[in-house]
Amino acid sequence: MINLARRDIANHLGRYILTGFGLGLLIGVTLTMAGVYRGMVDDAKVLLGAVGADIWVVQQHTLGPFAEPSSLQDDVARSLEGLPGVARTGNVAYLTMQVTHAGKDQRVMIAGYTPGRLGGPAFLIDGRPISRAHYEAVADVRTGFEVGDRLRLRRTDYTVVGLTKRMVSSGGDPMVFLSLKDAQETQFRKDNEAIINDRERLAANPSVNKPGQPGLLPVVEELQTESHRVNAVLVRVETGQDPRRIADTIKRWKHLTAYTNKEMEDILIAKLIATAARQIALFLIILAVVSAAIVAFIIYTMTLGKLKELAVLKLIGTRDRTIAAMILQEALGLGFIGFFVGKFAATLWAPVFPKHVLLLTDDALRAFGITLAICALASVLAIRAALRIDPAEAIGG
Amino acid sequence: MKSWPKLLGLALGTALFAASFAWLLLRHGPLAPVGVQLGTIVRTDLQPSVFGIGTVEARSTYAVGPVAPGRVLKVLVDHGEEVQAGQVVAEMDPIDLDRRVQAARSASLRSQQALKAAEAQVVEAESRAKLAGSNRDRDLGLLAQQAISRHVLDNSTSDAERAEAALEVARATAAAAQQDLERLKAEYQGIVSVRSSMKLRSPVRGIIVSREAEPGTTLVAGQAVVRLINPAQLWVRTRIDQARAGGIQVGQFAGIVLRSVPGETMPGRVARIELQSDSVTEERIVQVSFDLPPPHLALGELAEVTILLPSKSGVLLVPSAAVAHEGAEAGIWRMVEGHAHFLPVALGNQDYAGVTEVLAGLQEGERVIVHSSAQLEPGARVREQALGTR
Amino acid sequence: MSEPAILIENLTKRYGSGPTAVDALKGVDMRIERGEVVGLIGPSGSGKTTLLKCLGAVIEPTSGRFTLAGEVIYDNAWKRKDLRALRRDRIGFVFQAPYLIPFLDATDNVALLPMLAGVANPVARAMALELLTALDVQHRARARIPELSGGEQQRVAIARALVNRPPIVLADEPTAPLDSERALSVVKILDRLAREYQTAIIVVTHDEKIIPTFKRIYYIRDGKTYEERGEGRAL
Repeated sequence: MINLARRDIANHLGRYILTGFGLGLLIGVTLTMAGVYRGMVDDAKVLLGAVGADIWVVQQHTLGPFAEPSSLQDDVARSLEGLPGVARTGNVAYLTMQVTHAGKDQRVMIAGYTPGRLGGPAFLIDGRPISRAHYEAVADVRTGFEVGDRLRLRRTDYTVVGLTKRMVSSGGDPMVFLSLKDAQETQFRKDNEAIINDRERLAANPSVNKPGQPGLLPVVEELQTESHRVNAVLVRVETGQDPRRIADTIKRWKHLTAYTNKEMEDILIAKLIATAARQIALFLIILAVVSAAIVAFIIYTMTLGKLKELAVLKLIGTRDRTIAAMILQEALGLGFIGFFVGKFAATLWAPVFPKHVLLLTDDALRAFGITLAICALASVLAIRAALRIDPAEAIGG
Repeated sequence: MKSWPKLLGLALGTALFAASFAWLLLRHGPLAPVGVQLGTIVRTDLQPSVFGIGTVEARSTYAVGPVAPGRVLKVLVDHGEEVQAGQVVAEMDPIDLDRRVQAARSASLRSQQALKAAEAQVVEAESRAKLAGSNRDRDLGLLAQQAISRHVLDNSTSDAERAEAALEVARATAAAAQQDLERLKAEYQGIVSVRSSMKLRSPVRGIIVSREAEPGTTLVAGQAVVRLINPAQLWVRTRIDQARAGGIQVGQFAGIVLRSVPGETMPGRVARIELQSDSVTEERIVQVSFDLPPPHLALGELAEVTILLPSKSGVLLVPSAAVAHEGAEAGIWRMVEGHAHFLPVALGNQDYAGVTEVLAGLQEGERVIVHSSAQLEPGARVREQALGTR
Repeated sequence: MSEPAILIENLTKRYGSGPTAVDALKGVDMRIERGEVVGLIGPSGSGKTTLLKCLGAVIEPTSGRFTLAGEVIYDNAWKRKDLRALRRDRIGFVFQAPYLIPFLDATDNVALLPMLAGVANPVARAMALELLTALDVQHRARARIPELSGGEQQRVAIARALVNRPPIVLADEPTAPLDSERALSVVKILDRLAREYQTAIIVVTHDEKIIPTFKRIYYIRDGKTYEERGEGRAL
């Protein structure tokens, strides 16, 4: 027996491949949309993964440094370091700022950490980590900076000494790592005019600027400008220790809120990107349904174009099974071409997107299965139409 | 037969698509190995250094002000002027001081006159006593010759004794007048020196860095009218991370880069390591003096200070970017037959040039993963390739 | 003479039921021997197409008896379950338009029938090639259908109808699109093949050019057939 589907396809191969190609682009869009969704979720998790903390300690009754503001004294880390089971700690400060690069403003997330302690970038693709306590920065490659570039924040110039990759905030903004002291200064330092205004206001305040106490004013001024606050303290526990238990201890005795890495992930995904993710997920579903409908139409139209031939085939004794198999094979073939073209296209254009598009192999396999299932389902309509054809139509008219 | 070229084209097209698809997946897709750049462990001499930020300060600041509360009368110098030691820089309003000087002087003059009068009385009493004495001596001789009566002698003796006593009184009066004069002289000199303290003088040769009061301002004792410093004695009050401050010693060479002259490193030396460190910022305070006075004077200017520690020879170094942490352990990643492996390594301090000292666990010449295009997991497939943007 | 290729006795066909029922066939009797080519002619609406469909086993008659090469196919009900296999193996079809499968080449169009019956591909192709050779289109054996001329297509269609050696071939206006010379050559071929393959061929036609060539003609009118002697003009 010859394969009717193969012959039919070979007969108008160009059209078939073009149809598959078009379908592929549609599948590519669907895959990309799934990638956007995955990328969004991954963006939320990438910082947590890179930082590698087991516990996030934040201000009491807050949802951590990303979902809610959190402020702690930076000596909290020292008291946490003394807890049994705690291996390493690190103070971190996060803030979102605009930086200008090559004349273009962009939003970045500044992350301050103490070099050598927790909170730094996990890997670099160029350069070296921050080694000086001041004026050095490690930027994500997506900011466009290169090693050796100068980066201006507030009134300080920083030298970019290293580059990271895939270091983004939960919102997808690229990150710039600074030393903690620099980040604190950037976070809490006002601009010069504000400082001068504040000084004048203080100097005009008679209770601070008493004639008989000339030393009081500068002390108050310094108190106002200095800050030793951080947004969170990261904790890594010793191997074999249960982060949950240590987090509970911190919560109970230190009057702070402590989240395990998993809880933090849930906060970021559930609280921060839930709506956006649902939006994309819904759109993804619609896209999948539309794709399925288009596949069904394509296959149905393909079949309707062959009604006469199918009637003849039936008249001369072709079994329903053979005809159904032919239509099914053609549909699956379309799905097959479509999937690979789509995967190809999605992989090709994914890096061009401004935000991370994460194409998971699992998703691709799932999409492959779904595509074939949709094609099979779509061909049912066409098969039903084909089987309803009366072979008598071939005779007479 | 005629479908041969078509078949060939189809086969070629399919093969091409499959090949590029595979290439794309292996290169950019999820199956792609993690791109890494390797570096080599080197043994070399290390010149460790410590970096800190500081502000330019004068070694000592002189605040010139009145010793007593008062009102500023004149300020004779202005910001930036150079003054000599002893030069009058400001004057306080003396108010009634001049009159009090006058009074003291008058009192002392008067007591001088009184002393003179007392001294004249002494002279007079002396001559009286002398006369009375010689009368008594003569009467004594005359009595021996029985020329006069005993009665006469008694009289002259009594006269002499009275004259002696009067002399004693006159002398005591003169001494008292002398004392009085000295007291009034001292009083006068005191009031004069108070008066002269109304003229505020520079204690040293230096430069006025601030003029803090203007004529008419009333100051409390100890408040400054002007501040001055010695420009030859400047240093940078440098804050150094406690974790790195261990090797610093007085006399070590340091490079100072002023914020205003970013390209130029000025030589300096560690002059003092303060005993008290800042427990809040976890920093030590190190004073670094300039070898040569800076070209321009700007106190409070930020400066970056790099202190050179004694060099170590033959140290194993790994690029700092290679250092990673797995759990609580520090170490490096190695590429073994295309897979990443973590190796715990004992590491020393990181240097500012981006290298870290290896204490144990690695040999010279070993290759380690320095840069990677993704976070490494144990056993992850890796491939050496050029990363970075250039 | 042995049993006829086809024997039809009192075959009726009623469309619908009740007062609106239409009797398309009102008792048709036919007997055609193997190797015989007969014409079936009649005006439009005479029941010609209905008869063809009943003979082709694509619609069910209402009553009567239909015997194909000795096998009773229909006796007030279908006697065979698998009409598809019946059509495939026992009945050949030639249509007005050739209705070849455009995505198969000439050989495979013909070979498809034995293949559907489970004959191995090379054997089926050999059978097809034999028929194509008999029809003198073997030189176009691997050609795609759209590349064939109308006459060539019709020959391939005839080859397909005959490849399974059916006892009857139903030809519905096989010469309609052809000019008279070609039409006559088609009839000539049918005549030759009917004898060669011992097949009865029923040619439904209006074509004035070919009617005179039949030796025997069934004339159908108002659902009844009347047998007539044809001119049997030499070809």
